[in-house]
Amino acid sequence: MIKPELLAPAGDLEKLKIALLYGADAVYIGGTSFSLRARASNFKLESIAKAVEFAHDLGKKVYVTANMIPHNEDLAGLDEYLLELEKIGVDAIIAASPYIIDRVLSKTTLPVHLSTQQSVTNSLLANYWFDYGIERVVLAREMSIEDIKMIGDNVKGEIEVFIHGGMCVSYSGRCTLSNTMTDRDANRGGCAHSCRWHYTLHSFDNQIGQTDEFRMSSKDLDSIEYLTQLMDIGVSSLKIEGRMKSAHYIATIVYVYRMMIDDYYNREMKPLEYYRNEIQKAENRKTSHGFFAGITTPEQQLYSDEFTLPNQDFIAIGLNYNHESMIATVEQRNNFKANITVEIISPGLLPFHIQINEIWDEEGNLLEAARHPLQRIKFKTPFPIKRYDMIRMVKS
Amino acid sequence: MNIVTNLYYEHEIEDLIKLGVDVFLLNTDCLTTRSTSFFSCDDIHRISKLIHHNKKLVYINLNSMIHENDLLIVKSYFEFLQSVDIDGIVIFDWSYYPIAKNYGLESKLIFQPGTLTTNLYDPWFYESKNIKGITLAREITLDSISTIIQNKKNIELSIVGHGFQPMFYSRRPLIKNFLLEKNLTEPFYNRTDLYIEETTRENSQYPIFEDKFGTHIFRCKKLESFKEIMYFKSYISDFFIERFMLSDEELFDSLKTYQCPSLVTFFHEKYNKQYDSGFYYKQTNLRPEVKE
Repeated sequence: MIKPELLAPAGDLEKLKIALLYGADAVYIGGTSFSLRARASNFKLESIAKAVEFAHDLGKKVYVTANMIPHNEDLAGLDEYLLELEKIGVDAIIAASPYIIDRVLSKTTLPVHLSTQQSVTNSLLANYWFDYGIERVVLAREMSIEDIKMIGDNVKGEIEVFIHGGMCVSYSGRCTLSNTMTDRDANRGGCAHSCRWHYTLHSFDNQIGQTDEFRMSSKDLDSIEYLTQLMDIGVSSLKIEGRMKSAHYIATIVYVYRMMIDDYYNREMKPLEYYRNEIQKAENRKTSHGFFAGITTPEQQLYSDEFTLPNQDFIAIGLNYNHESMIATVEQRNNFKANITVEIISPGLLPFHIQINEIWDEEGNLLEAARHPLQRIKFKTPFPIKRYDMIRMVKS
Repeated sequence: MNIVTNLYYEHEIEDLIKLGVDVFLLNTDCLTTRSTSFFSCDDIHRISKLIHHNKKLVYINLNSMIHENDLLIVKSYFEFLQSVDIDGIVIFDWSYYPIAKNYGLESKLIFQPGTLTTNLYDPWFYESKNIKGITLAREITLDSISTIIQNKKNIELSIVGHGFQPMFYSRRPLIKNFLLEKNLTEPFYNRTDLYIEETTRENSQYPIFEDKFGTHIFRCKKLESFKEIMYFKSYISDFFIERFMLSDEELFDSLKTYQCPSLVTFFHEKYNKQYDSGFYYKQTNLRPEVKE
């Protein structure tokens, strides 16, 4: 079995480093031009250069999304942008528009990954794009495991499959709900997620159900039950969605899928419940398996506004550790008090618990609680805390 | 410029020709979604002869997405299409292209994805595939259409210029799932009288339709192009009138009005505020922070 690539999103440089350190083999980022996810904190060229340097030092890859469907006014400047990306040394461009695809293929030596915005749902179309010069096809999310297997058996190039995160309800790239309802173009980075609003279903004669009860919104995708099958099929890349998610979310989801891929590869699988429980420590939306089991049922839809709160609170991120004094320094991300048990996740280690008794600020003042965002907090622990370790409060 | 619309009944061919229809779009019984009127292969054989006898054209409507399991059906359908004298095949999914090419039918394809065909490069790209034409995306402005038209090469351009505009196509059975979740026993399949409403916004009643291919949602207002058609006439090959969810009377009134501009006021009065100009004059801008 060949280990698939674990591909993670990164909304900024910190998240990119976290994703890679927690086990992603590659990350995808959006530049300030030609990318969807307008509200994600997109990368300027100098940040992309730093991202690539960091990733390549670890032997990992950076893909840049240029997956908008451009209108006439969006076409200018593409060649210059692509040449800059090539010079920086990014590893691929993720694109959907024929214009962007053709410019990448004709003006650079960069590989192109076909975005899910093209909604490729069968092997014939995937092979068409491979013949065209595309290196990898990101499959549509409307695919069952059987569909993916059949495609895997019949394609002549790399396929990438979404394994975790938000899902479009419409076929990607074919939706103009947001354009119509809010004047924001979903296919140019302005999606207002109108499919997640509340609606009332009517016939011409009467209302069906209660007011505001009709929902289209989907639970987020999770692949815990299906990951090993995807690996058996030989999917080249397993993709996590969420360029707008928090650093803690990225760290946790990447960490769990990294562990699961390695465990399956090494024939050391833990019970699925273990991985599921780890994901729940960061997941704040309900999840289901999307189309993996076939056409969706009510189980894959969201009919209430209830959030599933993560079962642990993220409180701080590791900065450094003094081995002589055994003092850890962390950066506060959510309020916490002294005298608590916390769980640490650290790349390559299983989660472990420590007791924090006293906490101090940088000047050494004893604190009752860490109340200030991004405040540097110190505490004593025999376990070394590393940069980017995630510290969570264990809920009873 | 040809006026294209869906044929629902064989017996209306002559009437529709009198009302100005040049091309009849036939819905298939296996690969057409978003319709309540379909024709079998035998029907298509017979009807296409009838239409050609009247010196008009026949297009086939293949507007469903193609999944791996559908490939055999699509291939066998293209075998059938090889045996019929048709003038165009309107496709929603580019998957049809490699199949059509295998059967030597790519020159009949009109790519009508609804979105995706949004800039002046797209006609050049699809021209290189030797297809018949592309339909421009529904969410671009008249200015954009004009720029694309002026830069086009040797490929036919078309517009869906009238009727309900689809704005969403999901593989999910959204109505069925909702009814199941709420233990409601309402029939839902192929119903054209359902709509969803977003109660906090005005004019937010959106027709919704579910069939075996999934769920479709439409803009709340129908599109009309009575003013714009004069411009399109010189540059656009096919002007599609989307018949889905229009009554026969409304379709006939629409066709008459395109034939006779003096009826525009009457049309607007009769269909009081049910129509607008879609995205012709409405920019759907990027969020400002996206642009540097």
